[in-house]
Amino acid sequence: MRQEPRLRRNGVGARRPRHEDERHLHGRGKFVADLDLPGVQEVAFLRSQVAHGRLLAVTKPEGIDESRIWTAEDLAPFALPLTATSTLPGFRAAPLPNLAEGKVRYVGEPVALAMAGSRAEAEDLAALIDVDIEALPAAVHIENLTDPDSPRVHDEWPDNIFATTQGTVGDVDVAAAEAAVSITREYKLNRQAVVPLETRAVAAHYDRNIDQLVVWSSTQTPHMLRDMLAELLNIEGRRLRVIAPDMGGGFGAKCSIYPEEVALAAIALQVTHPVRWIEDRWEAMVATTQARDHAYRITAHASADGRLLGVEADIRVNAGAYSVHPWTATMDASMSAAMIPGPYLLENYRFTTHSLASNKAPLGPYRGVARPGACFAIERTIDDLAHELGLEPWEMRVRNMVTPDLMPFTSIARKVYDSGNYPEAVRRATQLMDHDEWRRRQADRPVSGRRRLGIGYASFTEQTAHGCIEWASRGLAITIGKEGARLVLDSTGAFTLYVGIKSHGQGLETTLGQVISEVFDIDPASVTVIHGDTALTPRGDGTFASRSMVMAGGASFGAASQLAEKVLAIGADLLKVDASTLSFTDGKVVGETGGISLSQLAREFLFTPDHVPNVDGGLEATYFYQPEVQTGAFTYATHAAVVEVDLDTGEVDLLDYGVVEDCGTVVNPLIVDGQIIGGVAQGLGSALLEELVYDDDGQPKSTSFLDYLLPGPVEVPELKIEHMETPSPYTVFGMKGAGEGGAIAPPAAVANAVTDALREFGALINETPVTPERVWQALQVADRERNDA
Amino acid sequence: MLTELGDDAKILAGGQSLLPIMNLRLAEPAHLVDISRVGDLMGADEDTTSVTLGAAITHQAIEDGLVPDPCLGLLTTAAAGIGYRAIRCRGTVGGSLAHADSAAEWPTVLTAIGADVTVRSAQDERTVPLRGFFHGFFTTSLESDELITAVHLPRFAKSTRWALEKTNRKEGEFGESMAVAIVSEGSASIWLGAAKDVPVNLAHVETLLADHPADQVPALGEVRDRVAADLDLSVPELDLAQRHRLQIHAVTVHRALSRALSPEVPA
Amino acid sequence: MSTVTVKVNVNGTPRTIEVESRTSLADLLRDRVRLTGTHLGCEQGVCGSCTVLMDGLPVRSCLTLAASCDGAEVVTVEGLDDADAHRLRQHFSTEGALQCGFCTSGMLVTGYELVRRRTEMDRDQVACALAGNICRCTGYNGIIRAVQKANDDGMAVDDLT
Repeated sequence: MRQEPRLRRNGVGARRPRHEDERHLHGRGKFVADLDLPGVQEVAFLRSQVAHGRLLAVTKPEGIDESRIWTAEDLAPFALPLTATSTLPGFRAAPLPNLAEGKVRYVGEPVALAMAGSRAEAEDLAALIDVDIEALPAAVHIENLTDPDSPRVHDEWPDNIFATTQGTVGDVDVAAAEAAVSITREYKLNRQAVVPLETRAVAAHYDRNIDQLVVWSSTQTPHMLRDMLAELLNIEGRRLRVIAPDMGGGFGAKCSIYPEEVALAAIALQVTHPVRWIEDRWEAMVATTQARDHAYRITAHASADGRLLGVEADIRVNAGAYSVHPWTATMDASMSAAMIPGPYLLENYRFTTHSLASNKAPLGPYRGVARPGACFAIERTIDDLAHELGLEPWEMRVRNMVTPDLMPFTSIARKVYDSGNYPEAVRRATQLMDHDEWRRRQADRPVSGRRRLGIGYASFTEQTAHGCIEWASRGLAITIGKEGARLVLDSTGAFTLYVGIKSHGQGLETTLGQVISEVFDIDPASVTVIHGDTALTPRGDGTFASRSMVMAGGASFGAASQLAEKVLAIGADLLKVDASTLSFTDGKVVGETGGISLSQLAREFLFTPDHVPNVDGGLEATYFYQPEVQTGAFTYATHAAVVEVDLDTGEVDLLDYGVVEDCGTVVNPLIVDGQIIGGVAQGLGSALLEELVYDDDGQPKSTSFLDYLLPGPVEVPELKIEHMETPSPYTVFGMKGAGEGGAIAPPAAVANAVTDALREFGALINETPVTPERVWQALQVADRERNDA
Repeated sequence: MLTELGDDAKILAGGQSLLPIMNLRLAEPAHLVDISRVGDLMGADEDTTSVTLGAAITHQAIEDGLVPDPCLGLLTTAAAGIGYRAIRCRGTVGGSLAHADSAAEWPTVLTAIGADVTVRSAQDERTVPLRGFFHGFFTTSLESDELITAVHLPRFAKSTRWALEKTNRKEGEFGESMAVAIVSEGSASIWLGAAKDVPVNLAHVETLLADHPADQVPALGEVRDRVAADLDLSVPELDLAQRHRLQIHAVTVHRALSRALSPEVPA
Repeated sequence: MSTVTVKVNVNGTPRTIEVESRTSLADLLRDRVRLTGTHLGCEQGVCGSCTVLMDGLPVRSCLTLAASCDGAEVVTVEGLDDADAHRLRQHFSTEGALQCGFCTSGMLVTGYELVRRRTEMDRDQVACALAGNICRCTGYNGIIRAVQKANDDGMAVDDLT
């Protein structure tokens, strides 16, 4: 089902302000915390303050209404724990408790909960619960998790390994033997918080009148949540309705099934009032799924003319205490292994991955998932190889990239790169940044000065909108891959689009409206887009993996096309002409001799169907969509950063940042640019600022915005963005996903730029975030090594 | 009232430091005495040699020049550097001094200026120089029944040059280092914040300056050695992380000196 | 838990509300006046989502006790309603200054007070002035442009009332 876009002025490709804006600009958005739920009891969780310990006793205070406090024992009869297992061989699963039992395994793990008329009172009550924990030594840092004497997170396991995978393509040893230069590097991306500005939030109420449990959650995956809650609560799905209202971002933090969601849903069935939990920021920093925490050892081989001959990768991921559903604890490691070959023509590749358990919060998806790590590993390596060979790093990239004549190209990791011109993106990035000018300025800097300039690039391919087979290949028990849409034309001639996808802030109410406009040539703002309600929308898996526009856009287009066919048939009947002579223009069905407005047509058809006897009833269509190729549509980009580094302090000033990217057909440039800039801002956070520090006891040390630094308006420069638009041959309109790309390259681009600035000293920047302390220390270490040499 | 309530009471003088701690339940005072709208604490007085600012004057009032700045713009600059505007609109100069965070602007800046505070209890009133007022992390010479009512600032001579340098990783955040240099004919007052639990007088750096040709900035290495001495650090015993922290302080001080001593660059 | 009675004018409407002493202005606005446009993102004064105007100046409603607002005039995002507010909203929408909308209320209130100062500002100055507000979605480029444009507009038309 291919469709050339750009037929309509307000359809695909139109730069349009968003329909969502009006309510938010007046403070009328409705987030879970804003819902008016009469009689609601607010919930406060009591959480473990130790990273690892035996839970000896949880004692309720005397003289308090027992029903206001729930322990694991109270909850157990009503809710099962969720075990996120994997089909990967040797995977070790452990149930994720709804409330801790036996042991606590990370600071922030929920142990009990209390409820009261206000959150403050609930916290007062929770503080009265007595928790007796015998602290145990904690397994914390990625370097130590496989030590033989490391504490074990799960007593019944022989070690802390969720799973190990390996793979070999070609022969890296032969490549090594042929290589003119081989280098080995170790890289580390420290742990991050995801930080949607709206924290997680759940409310639940059992409506006895209609025997329906309604769960409101700030979730990216309402249908998936409904399915899992039905299983864990052991009730039929028909009795469960999940509603995700306005969401203050998610970025991956809100697409796993959480114990708090299960607990509140289960409790709501047992009480007569609604219950609600609004995560506070401390909880969000310790108990929401976290990200990164990767360590790499890369050995790469290149020929004298700069061809990348082979890569060996050892990938370690500190996945935290539990495997989360549906992603599992191997999500990052397996994705990283597949993405390290990046946009390159690589023939020899060998990898090993270890997904490790620790006494940290569980790792979950975060914008880019493992790709920022994979990109960092390969792109830092490319730069250092280029340096060894005396090549410009951008030139080394161009020489090794998959070229357009090879498209579609099946990568060494068996992913189908669908379309595009990867080397051209690099060349354009050098022009966008005025590369030669920066090189000149760099050379002009006096050696005696204390500030250095550097320019760095990072290229990547961004797998988006992947289908069932891809998820299955990663060991997921649930193989996500289809999205549904239902389009209804009502008697007033207005459209309502019901989609299984959830917009968590990215503007799907606008872009999906544009898809409908593409078919019917109507004002996209006149389409009501209903999303995030399992009772109203056809099934969909949710918003993640840069899939929403491709998948829900494809589904919406499918539904619109089917409905269009029907509307034209009705038009033909009413106008007494052949349907093939009719088309949609400006809200009307028009032919050579005349036309009829959609409202007249709908009224006629719905109120007096007997006037149109040849067309089946109903003015609606439902369509489920998946792209033709299931390894996804591959967006790609080259990012470039220009930095100034202070040799005395290690401070890095970001002077310029540019992106040349190709996400196929752009549906709304305003929104796509917003995705890119927002993604880059988060990526710059990864690159320069954000780090969840844990001490040796597993105590998180950065649990507020005072010590977990997020990029602010001053830290993000005005971006330079250039689009290439190569449609995907496999998706509707040729769209590719654009949600995550921005966040993938900044750590690598910035680290390459800083390393470039420090080449004369030989200091390598191999760890994120690139803090002044790390830069300064790298300089000291390089200095010492030179003196020793 | 404070005498009656004793340790159970906290004075709320804007609350921009206290409320975050209370929201985290790290402080749960039984009583809060809000002084942020006490008229007596919101006034400013000046004469030829000094200015007196009421303790409840907000950072924003200073930032916006609604009260006199006898320090040739140092107060305005310091105020504008505190957190964010919405914080500055509630936070007060007296509250900041009583909170006594050495990484905050007022303790270090006002100590460097040589300001005094008036401290009052139900029975008594006394004037305390800020040099000596800060005892440690969040502790001062204030008794539990006392509150700061005013800050007294000497007027700078017209020829005085000053610089306030803050090094932080993100705009508006607390400084990892904060140096104040006030240089006038033949004397220098150089103080460092965020390095120890209280603002530190950099006496060795002051001596270095006195021994140095006027208007010439000492080299960073020299400054670093003196800062280390002022912080009682033995450089060879420091690990890399500690050495970096020292380095940040040294650079911050050096930047402040460069600005304060350079005749071309207005402070 | 002790209570206090607060007389406070919210968006032009005088109100007398009895609250627990520990109640923040944010909770008073959200729970008692049911104005939920003021959002809580951190409750530590850092994220800026809860920023409201108190007697014309921006404050963190999470770090302001309701009891401290007796006699005050408070304006929330719902109450921003003049030419400056209109221009801000317009530019926010066309510049891509919002995505999820959670930080937007605080951004608008902060930006509003900024443009009402009628001071010429370049990009860096606008960025610094907004540094107390965190947006996790947009990367700020659009927000800064929008506020700068609204500021330029305000300077040009000079319709401060």
